[in-house]
Amino acid sequence: MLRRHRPLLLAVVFTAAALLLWQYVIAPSAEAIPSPSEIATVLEEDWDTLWADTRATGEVALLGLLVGSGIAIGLALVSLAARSLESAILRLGLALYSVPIIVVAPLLVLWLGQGQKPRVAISALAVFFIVLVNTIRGFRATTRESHELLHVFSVSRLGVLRYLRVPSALPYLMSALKVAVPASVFGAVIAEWIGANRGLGVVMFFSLYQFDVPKLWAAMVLTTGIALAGYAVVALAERVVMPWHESVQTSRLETA
Amino acid sequence: MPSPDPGGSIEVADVTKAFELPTGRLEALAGVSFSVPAEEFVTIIGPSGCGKSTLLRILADIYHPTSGAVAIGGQSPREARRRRELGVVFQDPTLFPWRDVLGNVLLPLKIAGRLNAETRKEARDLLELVGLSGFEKARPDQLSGGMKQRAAIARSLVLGPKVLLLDEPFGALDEITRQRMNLELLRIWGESRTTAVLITHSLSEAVFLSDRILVMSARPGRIVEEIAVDLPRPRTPEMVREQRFFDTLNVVGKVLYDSVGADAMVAAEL
Repeated sequence: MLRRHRPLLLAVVFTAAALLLWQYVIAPSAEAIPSPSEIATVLEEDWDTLWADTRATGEVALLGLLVGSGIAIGLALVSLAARSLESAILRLGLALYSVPIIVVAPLLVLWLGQGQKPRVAISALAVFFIVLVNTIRGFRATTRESHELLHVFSVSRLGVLRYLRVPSALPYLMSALKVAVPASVFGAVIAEWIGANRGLGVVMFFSLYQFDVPKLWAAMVLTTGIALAGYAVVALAERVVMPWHESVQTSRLETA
Repeated sequence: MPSPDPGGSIEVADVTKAFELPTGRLEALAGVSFSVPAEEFVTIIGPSGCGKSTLLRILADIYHPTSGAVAIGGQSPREARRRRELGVVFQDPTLFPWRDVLGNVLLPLKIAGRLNAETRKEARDLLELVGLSGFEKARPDQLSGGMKQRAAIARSLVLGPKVLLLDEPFGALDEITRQRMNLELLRIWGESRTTAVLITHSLSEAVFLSDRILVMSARPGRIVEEIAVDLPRPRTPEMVREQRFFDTLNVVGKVLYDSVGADAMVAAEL
C-alpha cells in the first residue's frame, strides 16, 4: 500500500515543502514574489472574473490545439500519399514555426479581424509544427517486414494506413500532444496579450502594468493549471488509446 | 501423397534478380531453376548474402524477378498471393504490438474479409496447434522469442495457404528452443499439408526437416545441387543420432564446401 503510493506521497511532501519554503523564506525576502497565501487570497476574491478568463483562455487553447493538430495530421497524411511532398511540407512547417509569434500575431489580427479567430490561429501555429514533425515520423516508424507481411496479405493502401501506419504513429502523436498542450496555452496567452477583452493573457497584461503582482501570479497559476489539466487528459487518453505501449507499461517491472 | 490437384506446386525457371543500387548493379540471383511438388518440404541452404531471402521474397511476390518465370500451382506469385495461397514467416516474428496474440492471428482474416465465428474458431484451434492456447489475450511483448514465432506461424496458416514460405524463422532462437521448434514445425506442417519452403543457415536443421535440400552458391546465387533426404517420416528427435542422418549431413556439408570454398564457409559461419 505504502509502496504503491510512494511516488504520489513523495510528490505531495515535496510540493508542501516547496510551498512552505516559498511562504516563509522566499516571499518575505523578495519584493516581486508574493507568498502563496497572497496569491490564494487573490484567487478567492476575484474567482468569478478569473474563472471566466481561465475559461476563455482554455477555450482558445483547446481550439488552437484541435485546429493545429488537425492541420498537422492532415498534412502528414498528404506527405504519406505523396512522398515527394514530405520535405516541402516539413520546410513549410519549419518556416512557419520559425517566424516569431509576437510578429505574426498582429498580422493575424489584421487578417482575421477581432474576436476569437486570430487567437485560435496563433495557438494553432504554436502547436502545428510539433505535431507535424512527430506524426510524419510516427507514420514512418514501421519495419520493412511489417510492410512485406501486409503485402502478402494483399492489403489495400488504406489498410496499410489503418493496420500499420496509424497504430505506429500513435505513440509519437501522443508524445507530441504532451508537448503541444502547453504550447497551445502559451500561444493563447500571447494572443490575448496582443489583443483581447477576456482571458488570462489580458489579466497578466493589465496586472503587470498596474503592478498588481499577486494577481499576475494568480493568472500564472491558472495558466499552469490549464496546461496541467490538458496534459493529464492526454496522459489519460494515452492509456485508453494505446494500453499496449511501453510508455504506459513503465511500472510493470516494479509491480511484477 | 500428392493430391490430384496440387495447387501448392512451385516451378522456378531460370530466375535472375538484379538490384540497382546507388553503388552499382547488384546481381543477387543468376539463373535459379528448381521445382517443388505440392506438399513437399524443401529447404534452401547457402552462405550469407547468396540471395536465399531474395528468392523467397520472389516466391512471396514481394520482389519481381529481373528475368525468368515463377509459377505457384500453375499461376503467377501475384495470383497466388491474391488468392491468399501464400503464408510467410520471417526471422523477425513481426507481430503488431498493438494487437494481442489472437488479434495478430486474426489480422489476415480481417484483411481478407473472412472474419466470422467459424474462422475465429479456426484461429483459436491454430493457436492450440502451435501450443499457445491460453495466450490469446497476451501482448506480443509478454511472449518469449519462441512463443512469438509460434504466433507468427499460426498467423501464416490462418488463411489455409497452399505454400508456406519460411525465412530463417528460428534463426534468432537459442539452440534448445530451436530444436524444439523444428519438431513443432514438422508436426504443424504434417497437419496443415502445405508445401513448405524453408531458408536456413543450419545444416542439421535442413537435414532434419526436409524432403529435399537445395544448395545455393555464393552471390550471385544459383542452385548448385539438389540433395534428397532419405529419412522416413515422421521424423523423431532420435534420428539426429542415426548414421544416415550424419551421412546426409556430410553430403550437404561437402557440397557447400566444394561450391563455396573454405574461406567463404568460414566467413559465412557455416
